[in-house]
Amino acid sequence: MGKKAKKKLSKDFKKVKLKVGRTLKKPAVTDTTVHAKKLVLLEQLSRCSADVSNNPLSHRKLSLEDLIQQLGHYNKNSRKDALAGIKQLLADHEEMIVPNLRTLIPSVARLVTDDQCAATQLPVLRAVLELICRSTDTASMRPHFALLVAHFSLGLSHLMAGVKMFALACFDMILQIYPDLCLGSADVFSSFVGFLAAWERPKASEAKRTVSQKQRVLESLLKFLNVFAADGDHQSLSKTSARVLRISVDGNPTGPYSVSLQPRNGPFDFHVLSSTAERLSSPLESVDELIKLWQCAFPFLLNLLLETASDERPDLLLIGNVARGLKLLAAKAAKVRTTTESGERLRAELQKSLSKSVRRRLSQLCPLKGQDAGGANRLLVDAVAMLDALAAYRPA
Amino acid sequence: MSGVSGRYLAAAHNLGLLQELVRKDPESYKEEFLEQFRHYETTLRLLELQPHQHRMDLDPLLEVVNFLSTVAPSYPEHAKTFATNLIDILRTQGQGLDPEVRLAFCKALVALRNRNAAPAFEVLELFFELVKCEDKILRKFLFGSIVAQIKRLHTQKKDQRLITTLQSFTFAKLKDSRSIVARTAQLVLIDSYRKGFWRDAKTANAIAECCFHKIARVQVAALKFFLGSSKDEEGLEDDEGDSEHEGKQEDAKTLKEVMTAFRAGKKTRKKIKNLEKAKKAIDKQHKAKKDRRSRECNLIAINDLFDPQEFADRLFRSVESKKSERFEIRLLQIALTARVIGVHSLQTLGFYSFLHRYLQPKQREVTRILLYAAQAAHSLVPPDVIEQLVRVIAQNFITDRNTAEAITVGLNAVREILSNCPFAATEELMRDLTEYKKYKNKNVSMAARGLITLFRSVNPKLLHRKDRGRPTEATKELELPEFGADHAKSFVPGAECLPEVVEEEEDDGWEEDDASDDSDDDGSDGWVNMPPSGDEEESDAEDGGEEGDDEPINKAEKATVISETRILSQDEHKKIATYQLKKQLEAEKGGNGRKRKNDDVRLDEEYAEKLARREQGDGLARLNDIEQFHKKIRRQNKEERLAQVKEGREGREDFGKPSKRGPHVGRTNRELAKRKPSQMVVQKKRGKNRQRTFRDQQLSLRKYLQKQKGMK
Repeated sequence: MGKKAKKKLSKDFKKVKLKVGRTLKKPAVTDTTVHAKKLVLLEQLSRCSADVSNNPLSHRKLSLEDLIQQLGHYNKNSRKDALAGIKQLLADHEEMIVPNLRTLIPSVARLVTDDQCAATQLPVLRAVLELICRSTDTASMRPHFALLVAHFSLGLSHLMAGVKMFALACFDMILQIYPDLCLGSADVFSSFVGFLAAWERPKASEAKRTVSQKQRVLESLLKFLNVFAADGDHQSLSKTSARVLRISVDGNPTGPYSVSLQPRNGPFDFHVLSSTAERLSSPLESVDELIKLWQCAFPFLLNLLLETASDERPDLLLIGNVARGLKLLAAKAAKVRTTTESGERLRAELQKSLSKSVRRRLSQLCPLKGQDAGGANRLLVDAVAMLDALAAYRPA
Repeated sequence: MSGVSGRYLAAAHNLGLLQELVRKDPESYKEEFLEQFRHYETTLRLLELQPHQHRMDLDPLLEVVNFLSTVAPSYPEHAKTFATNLIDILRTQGQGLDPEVRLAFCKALVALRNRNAAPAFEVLELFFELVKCEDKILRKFLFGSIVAQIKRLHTQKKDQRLITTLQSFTFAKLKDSRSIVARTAQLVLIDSYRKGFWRDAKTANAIAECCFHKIARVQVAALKFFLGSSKDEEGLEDDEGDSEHEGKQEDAKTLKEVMTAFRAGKKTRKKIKNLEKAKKAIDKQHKAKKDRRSRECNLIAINDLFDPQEFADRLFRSVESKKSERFEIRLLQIALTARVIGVHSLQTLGFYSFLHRYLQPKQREVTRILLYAAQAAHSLVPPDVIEQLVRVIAQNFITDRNTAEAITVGLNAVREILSNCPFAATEELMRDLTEYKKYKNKNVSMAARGLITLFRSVNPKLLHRKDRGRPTEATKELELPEFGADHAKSFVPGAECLPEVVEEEEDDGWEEDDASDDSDDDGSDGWVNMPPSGDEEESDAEDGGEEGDDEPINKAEKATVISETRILSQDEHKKIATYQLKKQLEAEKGGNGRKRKNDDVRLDEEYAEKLARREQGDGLARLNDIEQFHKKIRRQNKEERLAQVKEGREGREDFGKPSKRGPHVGRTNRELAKRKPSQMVVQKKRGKNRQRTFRDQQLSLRKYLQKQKGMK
């Protein structure tokens, strides 16, 4: 016992054993490594949060960035809450919309194709989109327009009918608010025509199309035709393209060192940046596009007209709308037909669709039953007359 | 009607269902397909505008792409646009796309390709481009699909021109500047060579060219391809192969058959166990089959080389010149050089003296280097070169200063080398080496005796008189090995054991044989012409045969006569083989009854085995010939022993313990009763079913009361 205790005593000066190939340890070493730690001042943190609080917050104390992030949340209830928050925040602070368009549009517009969202969410989404569109003027919307349209047209070609109808409503909205931009965008025309072609298919799906759905499609078609087929759209285009962007080096805008860029449509629209080339004229000026539109729109209108007129009590308003659409279409066709190049194909197409039997049935419709059928009757008669003229036309 | 519309309504929500409908009736669902196609197009436009997609938007896109890729082939013109669209996107933005989307696009392309809706060459070209993306999953998929496409083309055998263009395209990709592309091309070539889709000389030579590639990984892959599996080099395959064959004969059922049989029957525990066993056996079969195939394949590839001499020289030069390269790669290069030299019997004489510097007992992987020396030694190498090599080995390994293992390895290596070139052995050297047969270490002495066994049958004159063994028939006929001598025989050796005059029955037999293969009339004419000259000899041989068997000249004459005058049947060949075997054994029988020791028997067996092995495959030495230790050097420690025991127990049921598995294990009877129908249980309600007599009741009551009072 005592021996053990003795052994455990450490000596002050140990005898160091020397061996070949072993380096001696130094008896005293100073540790020169430096450790650094971060200082965190609580006051700084609180000031930071105070800065954040300068930003407008929603009722639930969420900033716009947070809300936008939550719009992409995988839980649909979170998405719904975020959307409500955005609606409230933007309604309170409309001035926030334009500076934040870059983040707002992709995150909000992608909800259009969200097929899981509840039916109650759609009006909110609609309201948010409308809010954004109404408070943004054409010039500031121009750079984001392609993206917006891309999202909407994705919705239009979606598998589910509900999403489709909602996307259609969105299209209505932008057709109303930004007719110029729509006219300039190639996507709007092609996706709408594509939608109409898919809508007008002879299948079992016909049965489940309700009248209200048809009416909505008809309304959209009218708006579409108003934008694309109506005349006088060139003035507005030329008005916007008159703007000139001046960049001067020496501060004198008219001096020798200034460069003036004359953008075709807007300051942000360069061909390099935008993938879809915007056009100056309506796509309906070209015969090919017109034929495409005619092939899908005319049968739709015709069928709708024949169906409605054969009812016991025909919906006069609907018939009036249809007749208006037919008129617009016929007028456009008549105008384009005169252009020489490839007009022959258009003529052939018109001849094919406006066969004698079709015209006879149309003319039989004419005196509509009902009390105040006067307005609708007048429209219908006009339309039929124009169609007849179209069919009877022979080039000189 | 309602059913149809119901299905249609469901299809409006469900892409999978729609897919089914479209596939069944593509004509009437064309509009739906077109709508989806347009949806896909708009998605792509969106993707163009906004390259980074939200993660929740990915799934619908993938779904649509999947839908289109399966359905599109029903609409050829749309399928074409779809395919070109996909190819364009992948080509232009392949690097930037989201990995999942990229993979989905590639899968869609493969699906289109499988139904011939996409151009084969473009797809392959694109895939080679996409390999550049740093995406492991994608690379794996691409590699697999490229090989699968090659397989398809191979099995269809329709478009030979396409196959050749693809092949030359892949060859061109081997020279690509980006390492990953070259590597993938190489892997594709190797895989399709192994699996037999492109098993031709062109491919083999393209892979051979990779042995000199500037990228080390490519080099190593090519070297390893030609060397085959390391197991094969170590010589560890025989027992597996044997058990394999037995298994195959027992039940040749496929996995599918086994599975269907199991599915149909009742699933008892025994049947489950049997199924597992069968599955394992089938797996093993497949593996062994694959292994065997790849083992053959490296030898075929070496045989396919256009100019083996040039190849070996180049390889040797590159080994010799590059000092800085890693040892492992150099070892592989040495191995391949030796293998090619051995297989083709080439003259790359610098190689042997190059090996001298590596032949030291302390050298890393020295046993392998000894093996390569043995593999490179063949019968056409000049004796002085081999002599030098053997002398170096003898000096460096076989001295008393070295460990017993080193001496054993050295002796084994010398034996392997000399078995290939026996003419290089000198009497002096043999005397020195055979002295080790009395060495105190068993491994060493057995190795030395192995050498003696070899030379007994090859050239006994070099051995000490005592070591030569009893002369047998075979040793009398032995010809001394000489360098470059060609001991071609003009007769079937051992044919003298057959009778010269053929009986009638046998005559008929071979005539039938002859009639059966009537393909060459010239041959039969030759046979007709021969007999007149043979008759005279026959009579001579008859005399010789009667006079005495011990004259080898007469024997040879007789054998010549027999083998020249008729076609030997299968039975006769068998007879000859047994006769030849008997020649070697005769001494033992006729000896003075000295019992042979176990070791002698073992040595003889090993030698016979080795001779048999030389006939098949490449006939080169294996690593376990060099590392042949007759006594285990190291015992297993406890852990290893336990591990072995555990391995043996695998699959056996525990003895004596009740099994804890099954549907009712772990429940009490009460719990079980709850699951039974009440009719079964109601009788057993506690208390009702106990038949106690009145007296019993009284007694127990009394006992209870006494207990309560503390009286008992």
